Amino acid sequence: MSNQSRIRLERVTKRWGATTAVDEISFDVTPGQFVILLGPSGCGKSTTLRMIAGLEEASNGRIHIGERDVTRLPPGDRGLSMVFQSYALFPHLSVADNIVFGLRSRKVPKAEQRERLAKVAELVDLTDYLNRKPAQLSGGQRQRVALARSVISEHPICLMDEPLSNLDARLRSDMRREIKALQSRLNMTVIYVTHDQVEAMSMGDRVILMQHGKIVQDGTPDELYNRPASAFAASFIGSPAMNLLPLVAGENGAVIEGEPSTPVAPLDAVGGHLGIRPEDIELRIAPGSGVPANVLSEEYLGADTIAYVAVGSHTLRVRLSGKQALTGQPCSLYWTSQNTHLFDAEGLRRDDLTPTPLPSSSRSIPRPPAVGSFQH
Amino acid sequence: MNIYRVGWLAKLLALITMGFLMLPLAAVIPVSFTGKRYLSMPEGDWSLRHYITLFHSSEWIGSIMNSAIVAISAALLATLLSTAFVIAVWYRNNKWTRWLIGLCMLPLIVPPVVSAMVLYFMTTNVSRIAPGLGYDSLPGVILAHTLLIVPFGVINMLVAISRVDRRIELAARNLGAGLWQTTWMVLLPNLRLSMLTTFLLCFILSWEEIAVTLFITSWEVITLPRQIWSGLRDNVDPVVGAISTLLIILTLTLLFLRMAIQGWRAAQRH
Repeated sequence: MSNQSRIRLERVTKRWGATTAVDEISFDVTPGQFVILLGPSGCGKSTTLRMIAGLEEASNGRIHIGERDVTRLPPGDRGLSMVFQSYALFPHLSVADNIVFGLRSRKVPKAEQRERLAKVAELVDLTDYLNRKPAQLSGGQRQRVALARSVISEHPICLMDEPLSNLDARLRSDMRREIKALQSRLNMTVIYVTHDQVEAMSMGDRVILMQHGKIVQDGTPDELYNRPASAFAASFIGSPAMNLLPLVAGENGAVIEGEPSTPVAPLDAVGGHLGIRPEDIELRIAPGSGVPANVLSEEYLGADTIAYVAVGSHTLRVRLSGKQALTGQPCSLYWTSQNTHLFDAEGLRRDDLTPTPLPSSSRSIPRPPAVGSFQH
Repeated sequence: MNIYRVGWLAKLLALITMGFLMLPLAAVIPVSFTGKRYLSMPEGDWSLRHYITLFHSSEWIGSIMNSAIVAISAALLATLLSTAFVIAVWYRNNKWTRWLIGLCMLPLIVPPVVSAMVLYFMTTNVSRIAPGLGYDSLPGVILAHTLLIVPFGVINMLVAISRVDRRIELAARNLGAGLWQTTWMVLLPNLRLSMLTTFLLCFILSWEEIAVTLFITSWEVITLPRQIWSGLRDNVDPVVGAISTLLIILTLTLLFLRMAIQGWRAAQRH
C-alpha cells in the first residue's frame, strides 16, 4: 500500500490560554490501520483529531500526512475526509446533494459526480433515499449518508469523531461492523475517536488511550486488555471495570487493606494497587485456602451474574456465569498470578514484581469461558 | 389538584387587558365607514366615501408610495446588513464580536427623541454637501430608518444563526469548501427563511416609524404616518380612520405571514 496515507504526529500540542488540551502527542499511523483514539471526555482526543483534519490549528508540533507537512494546510487540502458526531449533514440539501457536496465544492465534472454518487449510494445502501432530506431519514440512514459523503471523496484517510454516539445500542453494533467492513473493503486508513471501550476493542487494530491530553497507552486491544500500562488504563478497558485493591504491609508480604491473613504480592508492592479483572476471579463457596470473602449482593445480567464481594475493607466485582444466588454467603476467592496486575503508587504498571500465587482450587462456581482473543 | 389552574379572576383580568389594548383599534374600523364629514360613529349612514377620498387623493397615494419605497429599501438594507453582520460574528466568535453586538444594539437603548435630534443634525449637515442625501430627502429617510431598525434585524438574525449547527461549517471546510463556498452553499441557504422574516419585521418597523421621520422631513418626503399625523392635527378627517383600517389589515397580514413562515420552518425541522 502506498505511503500516501501515513499519518505522523510529532509533539503536537494545543493550548487555549492557560489550559493545555493536548500535550506533546506523538504517534505514527501505518497506512491501512484502523486506529482508535480512546479516552474520557475532555482528554483531548477530539482536539487531536481536529488538528489532524485542520479544523483546529496546532499550537506546537508538526503533523505529516504521507510525505507532506500539513501542519499549516487548510482542511480541504489535506487529502482526508471526516465523519462528525451527530452527522453534521446539511439540512437544506437532499441526500444526493449532501453526498456530492465535496465534489461540487472541488468542481468535479457533473458526469463524474453522478457516476461516483451512484457507486457510493450502492455501497452504503442509500440508492432509494437519494431525493430525501436528512430530516426524513432514520438515525442509521443519516449515519450512512455521513459515511457516503466522506467515502465519495476517495481520500485514503478517513477521520471519525464519535460517529455512533447518537445511535441506539442495537444499531450501534450493526454500524460497527458496517464501518469496519467498509474500511477493509476500501483499504482506508481510519482514525476513530470514541469514549466507548467496546467500540475501541471491537473495531481497532490499534488503540491509543488518552488522559489529560497525554497518551497513556498505545497498543493493540489485546495489549490494552491484558497488559494495561496504568491503573487508569486498567479501569477504562473492560466492563465491569478491573478491581483495584490498595496494598498494605502484612506479615509475609503485601496484603489487601483490611485482609491481613493472605499475602498477595511481595512487600515491595506496598503503597500500590493490585488489579484483578472480575472475569479472572474464581469464587468458591465455603472457606478454603484462598482469600476469605463475603458475598454482599449480586446483579443478574442474563448470561452471567456480577457478584459484589467484600474482601477486607473493599468490595470486589466477580463475574460468574449463569444465574447465581449467593448473597450473604461466606466464600473464598482464587486467582492466578498471571491474571493479576501490580501498579505503583503513581498508578503505573510494575513488571519488576510478580504477584504471590494463591493456592489453586479444584472445584468452584463455573466462570464464563474466556474469550479467545483475550487468552494468554 | 393542579395548583396552576387558571382561576376566574385571572381570566377576567386577561380579558379586561385584551379589551383595553384592542378596543381602541377596533373602534377605528366603524369610524372609517361613517357617512359624515367629521370623525364619528356611523349611525345608520354607513358609507365608503372616505375610502373613495383616500384613493382619489394624490396626497394620500403619494404618502403611501413614499412609505412603501422607504420601508422596502430600509428593510432590504437592514436585512442585508444584519445578515452580513451575524455571519461575520458567527465565524469570528470572540470577545470583540460580543462588544460589536452590544454596539449594534445602541440605537435600541437611546430614547427615540434623542435619535431624532441626532439624525436631524446629521441630515441637515449632510444636506450642505449632498442635498439629495440629507434632510427631507428619500435616501436620508431610508438611511435613518435603516439605522433605527438594524438592531431588530440583528437580534432576529442572531437567533436564527445560533440555531445553525456549527459542525456543518466544519464539515463543509473538511469537504474542501472555502469561506465563500461555505457561506453561499451552507450558511445562507440555512438562513433564507430567517432573512425573509427579518425583512418583514423591518418593513413593519419602518412603515410605522414617526418620531424620527417628523424631525428629518418637512414637505418633500411625506410618509404615511406623517400624513396621518398632519391629517389629525389640521382637521380631524375620517380618512384617517380608513387608512388606519387598511394599515391594521396590512400589519396583521404581514405578522401572520411571518408566523406562518416560522411555523412552516418548525414543522419542516421535525
